[in-house]
Amino acid sequence: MILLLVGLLVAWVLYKLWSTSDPPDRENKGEDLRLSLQHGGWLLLIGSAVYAFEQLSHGGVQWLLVPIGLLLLLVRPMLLVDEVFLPRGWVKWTYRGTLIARWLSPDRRGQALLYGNLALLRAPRHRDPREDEAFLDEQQKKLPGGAASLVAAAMLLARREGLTQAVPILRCLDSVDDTVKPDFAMAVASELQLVELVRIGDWRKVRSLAQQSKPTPLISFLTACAQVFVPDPAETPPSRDRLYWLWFSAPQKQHLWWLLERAQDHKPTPSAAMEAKQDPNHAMAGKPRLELALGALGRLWQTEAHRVRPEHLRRVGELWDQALADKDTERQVMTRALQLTIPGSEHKALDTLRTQVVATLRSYLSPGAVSISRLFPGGQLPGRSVLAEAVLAVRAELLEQFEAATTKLEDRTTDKRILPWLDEWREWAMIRDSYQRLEEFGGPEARRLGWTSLHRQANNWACWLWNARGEKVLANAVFRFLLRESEALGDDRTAQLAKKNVGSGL
Amino acid sequence: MSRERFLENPFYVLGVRPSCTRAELEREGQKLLGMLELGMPTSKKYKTPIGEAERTPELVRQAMAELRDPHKRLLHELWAQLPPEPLGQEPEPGGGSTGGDGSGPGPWPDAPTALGFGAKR
Repeated sequence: MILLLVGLLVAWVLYKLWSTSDPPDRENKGEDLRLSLQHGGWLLLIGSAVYAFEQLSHGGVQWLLVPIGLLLLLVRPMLLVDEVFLPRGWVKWTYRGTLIARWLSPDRRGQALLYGNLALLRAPRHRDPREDEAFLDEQQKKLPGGAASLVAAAMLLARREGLTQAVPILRCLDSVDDTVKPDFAMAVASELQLVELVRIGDWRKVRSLAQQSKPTPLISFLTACAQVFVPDPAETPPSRDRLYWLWFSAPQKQHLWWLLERAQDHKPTPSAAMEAKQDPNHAMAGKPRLELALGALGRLWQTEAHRVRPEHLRRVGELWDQALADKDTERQVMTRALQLTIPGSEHKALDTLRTQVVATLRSYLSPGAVSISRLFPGGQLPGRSVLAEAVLAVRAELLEQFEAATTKLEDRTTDKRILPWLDEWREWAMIRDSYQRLEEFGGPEARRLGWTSLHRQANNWACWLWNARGEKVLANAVFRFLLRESEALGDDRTAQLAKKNVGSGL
Repeated sequence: MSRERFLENPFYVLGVRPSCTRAELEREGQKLLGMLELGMPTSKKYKTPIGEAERTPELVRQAMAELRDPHKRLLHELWAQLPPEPLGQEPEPGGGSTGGDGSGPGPWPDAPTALGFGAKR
């Protein structure tokens, strides 16, 4: 009883200290109370444990296990959820457990929904998920359409259609208003995006995205691995011990052991050696140009698309330009055409070969991962070059895709065709994805080409969402994105309009 | 990514070089069809510069048909200039398995499931 009173007193004192020592505009007093209770709980737990051990020698203190268990729950309220309900995929238990455990947290329903969705993702395959999905859908309807809802919906989508489908929606969170963007939802969103990048093995993007994300144990470990795999000369990569400790604090660590070993044993290739390897004269010696070009293309085919670097593509393009313009190649094809009794067909064969090479390079450029400015640092596209032809074709294709997406949106706005809220988000995510790929590939010039159309269609659509539909979170996110773009492009007229729209609030 | 230009090139499928005669092609094709029918293990795989591929009777028949047309054969010959040996990894940047070029450990298809963000299989 004395311990209980002391613990409560300490909790009250800590609460008062937090309440008075911080500025009066401190937003989250509930969080202070929670921390105070937690500290008090720790004191009580330690005190009770000491007392119990002391009394053990006298026997008959089993009743102490009850308060100790209860105190443990007070100290780590999410213990049961994290260790029992969530790993077993018990959706309803996880949801309700989180609601209770986070009773003092703001937006506890959002957190419960996210945890419920995580549990659904971890549910055994043999269990029928329909009842749980219906339960979560029902809970989601009670939640105002903030970021937590969106992340929860993205997780449901990840379960049904795969993480790749969910990630574009999560990327749109960057322009959602901060007041409806709780940290825990953003942390889960960042983790989902990082896991998708790890899935495809794009450690360069893991590194850049991790730098923009708030650290969680998983994000910290993945960031450290990315720092090892994609070293920055300006900073020291994490040591073996640091990697180990980050791994130790990460969730699902049994599955991350191999990654830890790879990161600990990773030896960066010295850049000088890389340059020596890239020396074209080394490989050129004595081989026909067509063989060299075929060899370069073959190696490209052996490389995963996201690992292809601009210099690699440039080299392949140069070798093919040389091979196709080579007199020896022409002579060889002419001779073979004569031997095959089809004289005069050598030009057609070489033209077809050229078209096929352009199509191959185009397929590597289509994801838009390698920009024109990186392919041609001077900014000037060479005249008759297979790579330049492929680049122009891809830019036209990306622009066409983008125009088609915005025109579809315009038609729907004009016809006042309503989609469910998640599908509205998905459409916006698709347009943003398309715009981003156009911008990343084509640079400022392509960005400007796309901007005019994007602003007109997206602004009209967002106004309709705001005025007639009451989808204010999405509309505000669109206005914020348009504001950011118009400022980045120096378009004052649209910036003013976007500012006014953003000012309308949520 | 058009890998089929190497992987399904009729010359590699039949295991002959571009300079071979029409008769040699037919003979090799018939021999392979017979071996495949008998289920001989040596006939089930063929080499290309970007790795081994599986040989099927359909693929062999298709290759023989393609090479009977001289116009198509001329184009296939251009794509089959490299000997059917592995290309290796030497001079190209970005193609290595790991290194300071931003490569890392490569794709991990089970990452969402393993890390608790994908439906269990």
